[in-house]
Amino acid sequence: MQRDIIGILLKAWMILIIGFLFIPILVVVLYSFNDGRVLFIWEGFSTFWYGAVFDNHRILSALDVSVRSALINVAISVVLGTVAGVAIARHQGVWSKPFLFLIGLVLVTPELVSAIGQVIWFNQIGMSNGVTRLAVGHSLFNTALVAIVVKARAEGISDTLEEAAGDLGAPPYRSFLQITLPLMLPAVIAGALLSFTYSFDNVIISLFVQRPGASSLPVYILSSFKAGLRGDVAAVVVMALGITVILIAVAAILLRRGSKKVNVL
Amino acid sequence: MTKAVSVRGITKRYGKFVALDDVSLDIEQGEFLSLLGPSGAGKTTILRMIAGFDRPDTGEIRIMDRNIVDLPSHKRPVNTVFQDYALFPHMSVADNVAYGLRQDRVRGEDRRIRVREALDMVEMTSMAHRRPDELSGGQQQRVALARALVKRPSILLLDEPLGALDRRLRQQMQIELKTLQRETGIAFVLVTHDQDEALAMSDRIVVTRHGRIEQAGTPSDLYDYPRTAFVADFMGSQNFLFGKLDKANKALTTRDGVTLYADRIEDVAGPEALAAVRPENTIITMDEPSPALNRVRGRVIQAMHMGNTMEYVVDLPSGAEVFSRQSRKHATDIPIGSEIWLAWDRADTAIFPLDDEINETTKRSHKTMREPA
Repeated sequence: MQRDIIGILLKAWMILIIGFLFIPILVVVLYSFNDGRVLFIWEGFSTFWYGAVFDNHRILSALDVSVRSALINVAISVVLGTVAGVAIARHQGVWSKPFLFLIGLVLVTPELVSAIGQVIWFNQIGMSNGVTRLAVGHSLFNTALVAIVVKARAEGISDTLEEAAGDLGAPPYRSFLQITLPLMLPAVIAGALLSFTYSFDNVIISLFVQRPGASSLPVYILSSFKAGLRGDVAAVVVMALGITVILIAVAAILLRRGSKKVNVL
Repeated sequence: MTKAVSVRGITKRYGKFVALDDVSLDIEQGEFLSLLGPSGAGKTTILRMIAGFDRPDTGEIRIMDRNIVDLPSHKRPVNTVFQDYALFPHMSVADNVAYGLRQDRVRGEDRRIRVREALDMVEMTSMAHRRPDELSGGQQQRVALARALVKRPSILLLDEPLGALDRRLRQQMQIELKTLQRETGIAFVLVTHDQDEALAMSDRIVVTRHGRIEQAGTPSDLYDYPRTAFVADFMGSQNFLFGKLDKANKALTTRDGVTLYADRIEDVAGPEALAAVRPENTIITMDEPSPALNRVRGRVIQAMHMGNTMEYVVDLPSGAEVFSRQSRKHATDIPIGSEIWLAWDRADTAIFPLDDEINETTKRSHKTMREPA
């Protein structure tokens, strides 16, 4: 009897927590289907704003900036991060530990600190292209992120595999391409997806390093918040949420598969 | 005949640690040779240098009469079976075996036939499409063998290949490896720390210690005529008694004042030495044995049942302890506490120089006589 009451209480508690966590998301999804002109006032169901997104050239241009800078950011962070991760895992030396510490430091540096530093730095070296500034700005954190993900994977791959490939007649470059890289691929792809998502919804760094006329999507939304939100903002946010969830799910699946089996795709 | 491998004066240092100290060694074609030694003795380093994963600081390695020290591993006519098998986890069994042939540009039907032959040889054809992680340890072991042998190397290197298998499977693989080696005629070089494995499979055993070769010879040579206390102890179990040496009479007087005679005396420098006898060569009697035998008095302090044999620990007055193994077929069991005579043939006695790592036998210093699990 007593056990039943505890069980019911626990279930209720769980529902409360889930509600607490997901009500904001539910609300925004719901209000993205609001027919009214002002986002906050519910006037009926409609998919009008989903269509309107594609008529709003400012949203489209912000989306374009966001996607382009996120992709360049992925390219930079994956190349630098993968090399760094492999280096730390495979070529242990006096510098491995300090290097790993620095990478960890990048991950925990408050974004504000990094953002202000970047603005000063970009202005000093005269980097004025808005998309490039966003891409480089986001890639700093992401390089560290990819390095950590790849390092974990590289440590799980026995280095006798490369020796075995050499023993069977493969020169080093072929053993890297045929053995090391395929085994590392899940981590590299997962790192790339995480890097894309981080960049795509970043606000603080974007806010500081952006140039006029090249706002990223999150920054545009933030600025239209002051002017009064309309349904198209909710619609674009929900679409972004959908993309983000899919990407993170793919990354998680790849990482899990990578650690359980080293099957590649 | 050209040597399969000829190692000449190789030395390797890692910082201050000397992994190999001026080692020379010949491996004949078609020979099964074991490198045997405790961990850190340098046996794996020798193997890795023949394979091309490590480079000696000085010295020369010739394979089929060609100096290969400067040749990278992928250009050497040598293949390796790794301790952890090192199968490529993202490839099927068949692709693993085909990998080496692909590197040699063996194509199409030719490649398929050779992969098939190699898998047939290790009886893994039915598993050709499985992934390595779907195989048991013994099956992975076989795939690793097939992958190395499919290249038809002149030398196959095996780095503790049976270490990860359970005992029954290990014994079965020992027989299979030996059969495979006879059939292929390829020189096998096996690294192991298990003396039973080395004795069972090898044509010749090289015992390494502290980066040097302690002794090399056939299994019988090493078992019957070890030249140092270390080899004697490493090859099966051995009792050691400390004493003063009388070189002229090939005799040694123990701390109990008993004089033991030996047919064989190894090169001893000092006035003190170790007399050695194997537990299975001793007999326990209640009556005084013939003075023609080496004999000591003692008290049985422990008796262990080993199946077909009994093993006794006999305490000597000096505190030394001697292990004795008696067949249960002919002898009656001897109760603990019995005062007995322990006797053995002079021909089964050897006298060795003192050794830093070998002490007079006591219960504590003596490794267990049970076979390693």
